[in-house]
Amino acid sequence: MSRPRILQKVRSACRVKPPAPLPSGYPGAPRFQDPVDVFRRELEAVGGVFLDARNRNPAETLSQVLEQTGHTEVFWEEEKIFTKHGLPYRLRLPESFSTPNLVFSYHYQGRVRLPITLAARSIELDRLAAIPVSASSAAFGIAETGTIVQTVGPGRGRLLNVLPETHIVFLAQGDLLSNMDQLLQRIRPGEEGSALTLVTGPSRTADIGKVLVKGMHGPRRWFVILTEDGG
Amino acid sequence: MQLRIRPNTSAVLSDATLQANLKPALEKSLLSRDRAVAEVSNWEELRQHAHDVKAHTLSRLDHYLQELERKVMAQGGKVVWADTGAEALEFIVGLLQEREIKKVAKSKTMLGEEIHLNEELERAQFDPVETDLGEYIIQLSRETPFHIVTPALHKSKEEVVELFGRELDMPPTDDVEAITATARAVLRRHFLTAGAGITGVNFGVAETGTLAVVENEGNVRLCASLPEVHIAIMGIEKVIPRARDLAVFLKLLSRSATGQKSTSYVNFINGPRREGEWDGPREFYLVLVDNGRSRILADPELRQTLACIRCGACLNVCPVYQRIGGHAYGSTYQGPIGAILTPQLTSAEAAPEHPFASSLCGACYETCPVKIEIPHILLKLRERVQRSRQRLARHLPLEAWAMQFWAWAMSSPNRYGFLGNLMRRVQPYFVRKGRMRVPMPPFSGWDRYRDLPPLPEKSFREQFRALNKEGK
Ligand code: SF4
Repeated sequence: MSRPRILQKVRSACRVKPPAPLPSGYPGAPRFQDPVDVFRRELEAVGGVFLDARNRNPAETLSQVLEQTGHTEVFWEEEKIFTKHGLPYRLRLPESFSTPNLVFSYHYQGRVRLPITLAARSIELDRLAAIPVSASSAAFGIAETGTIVQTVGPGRGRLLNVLPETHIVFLAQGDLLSNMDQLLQRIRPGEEGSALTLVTGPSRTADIGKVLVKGMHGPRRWFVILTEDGG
Repeated sequence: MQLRIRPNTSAVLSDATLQANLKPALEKSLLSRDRAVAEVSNWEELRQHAHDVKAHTLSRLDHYLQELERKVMAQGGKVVWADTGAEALEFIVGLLQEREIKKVAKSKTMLGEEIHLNEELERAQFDPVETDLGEYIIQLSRETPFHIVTPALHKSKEEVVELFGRELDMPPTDDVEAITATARAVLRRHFLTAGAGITGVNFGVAETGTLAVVENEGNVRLCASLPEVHIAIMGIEKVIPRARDLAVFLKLLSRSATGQKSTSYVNFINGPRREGEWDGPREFYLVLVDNGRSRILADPELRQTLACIRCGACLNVCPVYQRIGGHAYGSTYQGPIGAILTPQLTSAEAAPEHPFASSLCGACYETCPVKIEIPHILLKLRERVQRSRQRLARHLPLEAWAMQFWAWAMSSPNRYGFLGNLMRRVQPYFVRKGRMRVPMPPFSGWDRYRDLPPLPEKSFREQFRALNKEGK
């Protein structure tokens, strides 16, 4: 194919000039005394909602969000929501996490529904796309830009975070970084899973008459619930 | 085929609506850009870093492309090299045929525009659907992008309502939320039934095999998650060495492009879905496209054109773009970057007017987040056009003669003074109220959009002499 030809052309083109050096250092980025405060400000500036659940039961905060949005169900697929953010364990259906499944619950009443299996994809995709509210656990948060870092892994996909109109992210305080440079020093993209997404507020567009509209393809309502570490 | 700009301009310049809306829209982008940039205390340091990283990468591009290829393959992705746009298209069409895929969800990619991806897919009986709202509007109205970042910038709300009414049976409304909701619903169906997703790439990280793609709507994320096959097309110049450089480039790009601190989504894509992951594409292809880039790389001075991160800031700030808009350029890339890139991707002869579509004010260079010396490159390209014209000089004796006369007049202070004096005396017979009294080819037309001010009574040197005398 064209590989050798292109590489040959590129190689001889490179030689018209001596190689330029690669900068060894990196420019600095802001570090904050109180990243929570900055994070809240930036998130709100892009139309997200910040909820502080550090001194309360995160399940209560979740109920509030559901009440506010007029929904009773929330869907999630990460066990971390229970272990990391301290949601009551009775909302959990243990065996559903042993296979890559999607779990949803009437968490408000503390009842857990049967998991939807995602085996029959063509049917399930439509059902998945019809889910109104989902929740996930953030790998990290970035204060400078009000950003949430979402990763994928076994049993933890990408679609549930982006298809619904309302999404709720649990972020542990200890995972809140000041800037993106810190993130890229902590993690190596691709190490954990095949996709990593930095999400800053709701999905948006300004393509019609420069008017800002939320919820173009992804969530229109974007909530971040901050929890205590190891909750 | 020759790309011209001049014949397209009179229509745009006399389009009152466009003239009234364009500049304010661009100024709005500029204002948020300026605000976002002013907040960054080390903006200049970031620019320089990005500039240096790009210069380094380009000088060792063969090395980094191979490293990127290795890393993408190690993650289960496939890498395809395309020398020309036609080769890239051939591969994509072949793959879709083999997989028996009809519908393709596309996100915005300027490279896709450059190689005419949609036209080719349609010609081959596929069904490509643009999923970025602006691009979707452009696709439905069968136009080309007006701006590399905001392709439907020139469309008013009313025009979109009319278009969606006709194409999507949307009932009339003037609520932008409702229009957007219609697009969301229509495009969601397309997403759920598309067999492949095609996206562009903003940065390909050699160190980790990560492809970074920025967006606001979530459509790139869906293009790269829902269909079974994901094809990412990337110009060979888009590679960067290290993951940590992303923090710098992403900051520069989002703030320069839209004035956002970060775009709503930044997608890091590392190959197809892995064992245990229940969604994401099963097949991932990275198509590396040269299409003239290695030729640009081979010119030591013009090479820096390839550092462009397509932020569009130079368009917004350009006094020429602010007047003539994007379509007048007739090329995939518009504004200052289009003026330098187009003749290089094609040839000086194919786009002879592009390097001249600039006042050389330098605003583009000041704004450019990777410090590309656009005015300098424009001059180099003008030289090229001039040289190719000189080869045709026999056809243009008048211009050559005029230039020689000019050089003769300018090279002696006495001659210059004498001729200036002469001009001041005769001008009033030809010019009145900023216009020529009678059209005089080849000068007529020049004053249609410009004033021709009267020459002052005394020359600068005369005034200076008088001042000096007074001083004494
Ligand atoms: S030339 Fe510079 S300012 Fe213009 S689009 Fe490219 S990176 Fe942006």
